[in-house]
Amino acid sequence: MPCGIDFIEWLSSRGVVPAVGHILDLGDARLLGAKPDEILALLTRHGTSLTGSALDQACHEMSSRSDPNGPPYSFSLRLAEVFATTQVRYTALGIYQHFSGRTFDPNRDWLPFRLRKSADLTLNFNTSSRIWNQHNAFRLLHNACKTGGRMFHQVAGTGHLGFGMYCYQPVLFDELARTNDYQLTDLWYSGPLSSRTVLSLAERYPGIAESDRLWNDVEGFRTHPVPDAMLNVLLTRSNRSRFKLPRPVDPFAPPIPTLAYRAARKIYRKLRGRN
Amino acid sequence: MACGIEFLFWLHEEGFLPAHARLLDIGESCLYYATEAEIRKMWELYGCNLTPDVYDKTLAEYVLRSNTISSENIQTLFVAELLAVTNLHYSSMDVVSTGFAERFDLNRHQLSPSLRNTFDVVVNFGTTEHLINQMNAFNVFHDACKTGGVMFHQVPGTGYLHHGYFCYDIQFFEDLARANGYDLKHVWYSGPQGAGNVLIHGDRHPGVLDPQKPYNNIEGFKDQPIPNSLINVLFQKKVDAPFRVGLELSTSATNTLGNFTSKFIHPVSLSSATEMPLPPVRDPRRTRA
Repeated sequence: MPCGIDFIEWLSSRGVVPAVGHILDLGDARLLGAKPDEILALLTRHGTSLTGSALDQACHEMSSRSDPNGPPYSFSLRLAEVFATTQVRYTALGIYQHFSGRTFDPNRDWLPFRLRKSADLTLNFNTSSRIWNQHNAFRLLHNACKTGGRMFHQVAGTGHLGFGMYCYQPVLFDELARTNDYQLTDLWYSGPLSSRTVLSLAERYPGIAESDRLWNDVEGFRTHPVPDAMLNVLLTRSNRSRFKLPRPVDPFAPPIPTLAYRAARKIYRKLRGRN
Repeated sequence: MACGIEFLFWLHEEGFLPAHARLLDIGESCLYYATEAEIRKMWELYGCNLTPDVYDKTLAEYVLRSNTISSENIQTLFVAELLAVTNLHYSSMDVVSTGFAERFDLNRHQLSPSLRNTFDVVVNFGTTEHLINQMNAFNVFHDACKTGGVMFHQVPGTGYLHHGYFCYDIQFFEDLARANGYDLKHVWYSGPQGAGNVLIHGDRHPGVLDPQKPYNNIEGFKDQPIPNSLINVLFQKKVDAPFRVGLELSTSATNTLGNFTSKFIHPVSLSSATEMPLPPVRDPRRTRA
């Protein structure tokens, strides 16, 4: 998924991107909108091995492929390429085999053991909004992050109609932080970008534009476009405990009988009946 | 969770909720703003076993409770109560104790084998946006619904900035239907019902109001409230097969990469980055019988 140079610069200048360390990226991010001087600053800060004219040439070459309106997607700059010449180790988890990543199904696969608690920074540039198994996606980012490491999420916050599967609410990150003892270091929205009305999806589903559907105020929708905005969240992992799912808490409820408990109760009743 | 009685009538009119149907409500629903005429109509459609001496009293109580939301003294009416006196077989599951629902955690629990493939209608009136394990939750819906039965989802589509974890995109339901061979019969939005502004989160998260953050256009957000709307989706299950999911790649550029190579990555570091040690493969001929 794409990421903007401004966000990498923001993370880097605040020491969130380690000078020497490990970054784990969920998805193999493309880097967009990077100018040669911005790439130069980033490479220099993270100890590039390139020098002199080779460095200048690399910055210009990378920048030419970082323009979102320039080369086709297939040639656009990968974040992996930028960090390849630095002291930062970069690993991407993508479902396609690339030079920087390995084939990985975030719906089902568990994090390889050697990557556990290895990352100083985990990145999620809107990859999780394309993954069904949200539980697994957040768990593997948790497992990849070191104690004291950071997790940066840039996900769809509002709008993005017909693009990805979810928009995320800040409540999710509040709850994740509360349950797993993360420090919620920063949270903000980026945008608003373009906006669309839900009626723009009516080509695919005519029911959306039919005003005789229940509570479908087509005219109301026409005058209420939904702006696109990204939600940016920076979390810090503060302990070694395993990933926990937030869940609604009902203090008056008895414990939920698990399948194991039910099976045990069944066996107990059966035995008692026999005796 | 809450449902409007109009949606139950709609299911009836479309022929998906016939008399004596088995209805599973995942996340037990309250019934909001039902009028006396609507409750009478529901009981006429599905029969009512209340005796005449308690009919009027019960009706009056249900109307009052259906129109009383968030009161400390009066419990809002549950759909379970309305349908308990009809010929519909209503069941519900909820993670919190409500009095009528079976305790069930959609994050963790799987449907009991005896309940699989048994329900004519499975409904989700704003439940799944409150949990993280989306895969398990939709697996439960799939398992509960019988082949030929329907699943109705009414979940946040846009806005609802203070409600639940997620808003769902239409893409989510398209992919779900494609992966499981569902017939996606109806999709529409309900609303807009009010609007919120992302800046309301500024009281808890100061960064939301900080214009120094990258691309945080506070003035732009001020002028652009997010309308609240619900997305309504009705699927029909056509195939009795295990639940399947995919990845949403239709709007992703990643799959166009092909054999992309980079001169900035040395072949040695390339192989070290991509080659993961595979577990040793045991030769079956050398395994003892």
